[in-house]
Amino acid sequence: MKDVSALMDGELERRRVGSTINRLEGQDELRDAWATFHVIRDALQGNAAGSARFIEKFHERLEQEPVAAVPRWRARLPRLRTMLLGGAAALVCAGLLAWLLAGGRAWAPVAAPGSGPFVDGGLNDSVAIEYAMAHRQLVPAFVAGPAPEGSAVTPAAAVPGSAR
Amino acid sequence: MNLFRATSQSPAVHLQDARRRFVRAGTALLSGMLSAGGVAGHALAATPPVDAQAWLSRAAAAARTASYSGVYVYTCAGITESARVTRVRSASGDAERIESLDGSRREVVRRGDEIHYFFVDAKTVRVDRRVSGRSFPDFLPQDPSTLAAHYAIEAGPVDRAAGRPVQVVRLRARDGSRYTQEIWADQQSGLPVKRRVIDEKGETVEQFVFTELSVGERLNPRQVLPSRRTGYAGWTVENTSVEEVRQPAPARGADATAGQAFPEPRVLPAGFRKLTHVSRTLPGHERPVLQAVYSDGLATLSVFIDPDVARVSGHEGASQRGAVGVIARAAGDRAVIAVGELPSAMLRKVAESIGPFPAR
Repeated sequence: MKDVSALMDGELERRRVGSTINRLEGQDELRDAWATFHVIRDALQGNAAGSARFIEKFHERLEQEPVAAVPRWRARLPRLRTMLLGGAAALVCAGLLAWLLAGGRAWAPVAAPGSGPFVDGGLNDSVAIEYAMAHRQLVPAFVAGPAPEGSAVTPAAAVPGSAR
Repeated sequence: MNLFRATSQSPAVHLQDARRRFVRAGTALLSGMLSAGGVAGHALAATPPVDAQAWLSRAAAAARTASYSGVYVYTCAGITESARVTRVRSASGDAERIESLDGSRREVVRRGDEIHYFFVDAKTVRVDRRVSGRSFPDFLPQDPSTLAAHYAIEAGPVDRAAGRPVQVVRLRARDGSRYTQEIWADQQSGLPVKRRVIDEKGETVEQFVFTELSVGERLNPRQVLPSRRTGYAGWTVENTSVEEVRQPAPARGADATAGQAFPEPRVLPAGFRKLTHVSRTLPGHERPVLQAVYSDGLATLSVFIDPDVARVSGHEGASQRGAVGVIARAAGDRAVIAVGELPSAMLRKVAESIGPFPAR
């Protein structure tokens, strides 16, 4: 386990790299650890450079593992996190996100009968979609509705209040 | 029944004998069918009422345990989208892949509670953990009998959906705090092949229906992998952290500044219980938001407390998209956002019952 961590950090002595990789190929558990470390490292680094490699690793891992391997990964994650962070805080979320949904098909405003703190007319679309997405995971319309206009994502601009 | 037993007779005799046996067998078969028909006809006359609760339990169990693959159409607020879904279950694992078939290319790959959203056109992948989401067709609680307190569970007709005979079960809301729903359960497997959410005016506000479906076939786990194998250079990965908050919930209306305790709404629809309470970092947010999820077993409601009130200042209000309503309001220096599959009047009452928050 420690060797895997060191390999990722580029600290493993050159002569030991080959044997560690061989062991990775041979042992499911170490392969799990490898993938998990990548996930954690990417999360910590906010992942710019590592993203492409991470996904390819993620993919390789999915392909190599049977579906049944999921619980093992999940069970191990807190221990790995403790090891890496020394028991420190949660994973750091990196970067701003443009909700790809934003700028698409409008939500219907709900008339606000009577008085109250609500503005008649309707909630800002991107705010509504952002929270609907967080609430309703996996449902297609909210996982990502329409294609973003102009397609290219402009993270900071798409969510009001997110540009800093 | 062997109609053509090998004998030592000549071919002609053999043929004649075989023909006789065939006729005898046919007669027996016909008479058997008639008699079975008679029994069926008799049974039909005295058919006991369809046990809607049993159908619901069967549908819930099938959605939880079956492996399936198909295409469903989702209709909501005048929008129609279709998606291909594959779910592979094994004794100790659960993986699912949903791929959009309209508009921008999107894929969702879920393994256990870990979700990867691939936004192909935008070259972005988002890593998230499942908190509240349950996707069609797996949306029923493990024990659907608990729904009876808040929904009248009624058997509907036998119908057809996705080319299959189905049993319709209606969950009629017992009060105006939630929507009525209808489920079409596959007669063969029990799997829900259609779900309809109906508002108080009787209008459909959301619908899922399979147009193609195969259930229980042996599926290759590769079918739940992302379709893109390589070529991720230039992609962006977004991570969402989710931390379960383990502190016991404080009394209703308590101060949110007390640790990570969740400021419980003073108003909830009858039968709604808290499922989970997390602190999560949403993309684009500097500080984590608190999210509590409540459910009556069928409809779910999330309440978010966002420490950054600027997110909603100036655009507080309510929005509705099909069955899902969102209400955002500023409460002192925090934003309160209630989201759920509830009629907007109920959602509003929930949102207004949270806070006030003392200034920090």
